[in-house]
Amino acid sequence: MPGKSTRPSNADGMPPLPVRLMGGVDLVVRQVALWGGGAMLLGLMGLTVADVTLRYLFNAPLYGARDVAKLMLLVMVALSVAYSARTGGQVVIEFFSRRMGPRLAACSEAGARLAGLAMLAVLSRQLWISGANAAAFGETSMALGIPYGPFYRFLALGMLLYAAVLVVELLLILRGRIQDLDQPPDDVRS
Amino acid sequence: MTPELIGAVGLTAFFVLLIFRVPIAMGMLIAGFGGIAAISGFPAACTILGSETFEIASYIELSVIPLFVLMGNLAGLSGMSRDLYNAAYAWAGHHRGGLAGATIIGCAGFAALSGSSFASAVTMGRVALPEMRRFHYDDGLATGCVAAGGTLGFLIPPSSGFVIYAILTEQSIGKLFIAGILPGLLLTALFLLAIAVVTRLRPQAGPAGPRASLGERWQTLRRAGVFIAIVLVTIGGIYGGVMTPVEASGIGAFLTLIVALARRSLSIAAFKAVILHTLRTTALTFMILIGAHVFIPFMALSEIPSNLVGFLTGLDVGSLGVLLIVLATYVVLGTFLEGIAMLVLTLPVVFPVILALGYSPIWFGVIVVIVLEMGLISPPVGVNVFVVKGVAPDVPLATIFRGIWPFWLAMLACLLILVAFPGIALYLPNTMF
Repeated sequence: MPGKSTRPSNADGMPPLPVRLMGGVDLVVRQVALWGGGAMLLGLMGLTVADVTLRYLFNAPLYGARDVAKLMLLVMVALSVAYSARTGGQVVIEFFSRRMGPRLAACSEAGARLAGLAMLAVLSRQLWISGANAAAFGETSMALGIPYGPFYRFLALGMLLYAAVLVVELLLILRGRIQDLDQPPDDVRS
Repeated sequence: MTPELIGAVGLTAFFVLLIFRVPIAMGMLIAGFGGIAAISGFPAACTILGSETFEIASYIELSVIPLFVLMGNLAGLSGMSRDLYNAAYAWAGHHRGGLAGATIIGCAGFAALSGSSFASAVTMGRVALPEMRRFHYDDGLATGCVAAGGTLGFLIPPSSGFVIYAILTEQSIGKLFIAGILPGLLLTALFLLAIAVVTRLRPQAGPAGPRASLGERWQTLRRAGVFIAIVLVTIGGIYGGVMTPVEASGIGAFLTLIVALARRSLSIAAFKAVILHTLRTTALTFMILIGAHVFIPFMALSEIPSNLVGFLTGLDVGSLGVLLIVLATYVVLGTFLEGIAMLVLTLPVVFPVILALGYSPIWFGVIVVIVLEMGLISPPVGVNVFVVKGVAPDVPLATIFRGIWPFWLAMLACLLILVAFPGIALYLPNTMF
């Protein structure tokens, strides 16, 4: 369970700061994905079912359903990208890294996060600027006229949360606690 | 620097990033953004970065990814995979190799509810492996058929591979889904043939199970009927033109949720796990697509794909020769690159070549997905092999890989048949409403 760490503690009985930070970040990204992303997921499903049912059974499709659905999808992605990154949901080529020594592996892990952090900083900034531009130019959805500006910015915040994950992971690596990086995903059992 | 040189530097940098464990989505974003900035300037790169990220994250056709993943996760949880296996087991388990055959049929059926080879291998592995071991099946055959059967999830619709291919190449998701049906059935038949050959050569590898009574057989079939109904509504709805893939995914997920609730198989903890697992897969796919949509314009600007088209179409080997070179390259890449990674890395370069040679993009989508499936079970990094290893930790990897070869050859045969007879993949899409 994220946030309830059983990781090794310091002499004073408290886990080191990066480990505690990681526990906090794990808890936040999980709750954000579960409640926010989950609501969007179920909402998207419900909206699709309602639209199809009304269209085919009553010949009365939901006006603007497509507009709402596409923005729900965007919010879902924004709220779940940090959780996905934190639970190993990003595809990494492990063919070469399995052959690295522990020192090079640690450098590689740190470098990967630094590179990701730099890219996410640029991406978040650009999304924020694009949001301002969208607001200035009055970009809206087709049917309902929902302004796009806030959604660009919401996506920027989602990417910043992902960046926060990388910052704390980087702290852990720099403190030599690479073993504390692993966060197994919630499993789906049949 | 010329665009070609910048392209070459960008590609090299990208591979270096991958070697040092930068996630593929991030690698594509970095190389694509840097490359566009070098060729067209920083403002142009920023514009593409912002607009493509927003476009992909809000691309409504991509709702099929979370909704079909949700459907697959709920189907696994509600015991539909077990129902499918039990039905196939009751009808075929008493034949030599019958339990392995039932596993393949169960995987094919579950593939129609789940777009993930990983999910198919995990769920069917948990159900089928203990049963096969109880009847003293050869470990290689038992694990090999689960790993190979799991790959059907990538080919039989709904397939995440087809969705990604469709988005990267701007093809119809619905047509690709429908194009996967007949090749999926063909591959299932070839897997069954592979089991028949193995158990004919080594009967002790797959002894016959107990014979079920006729009553038991019909009972298991009735229970699996729910699954048949959902597949008919979703895939049948797409084929019949009644629903778009997005609508079918929403309806499919909803029906599967109803079944899971009706069967009381959905505890709150399990439902949370389903939601989180679905979101995790969704975000992974979206990040890769966002990366690809920044990387692809960079590749186009670098002119590397157009130069490669000129080079390959100028080779004196004919279009079939070029196609075979491309496929052979894919098979080799598949031995050490993860499937989706290979798809997004190669398509920007390979797809223009395929179009220039006059091949159908829908047919090529099916071909590519089968080659990716081969990669899923190829040593040394066959993902499905490691998934099965997780389900059967006491079976050595070498044994699993040994058991996979007959199925890998069946895939190769399927590939060659589809190259020789493209109509197998194109018949249904051409007759869609």
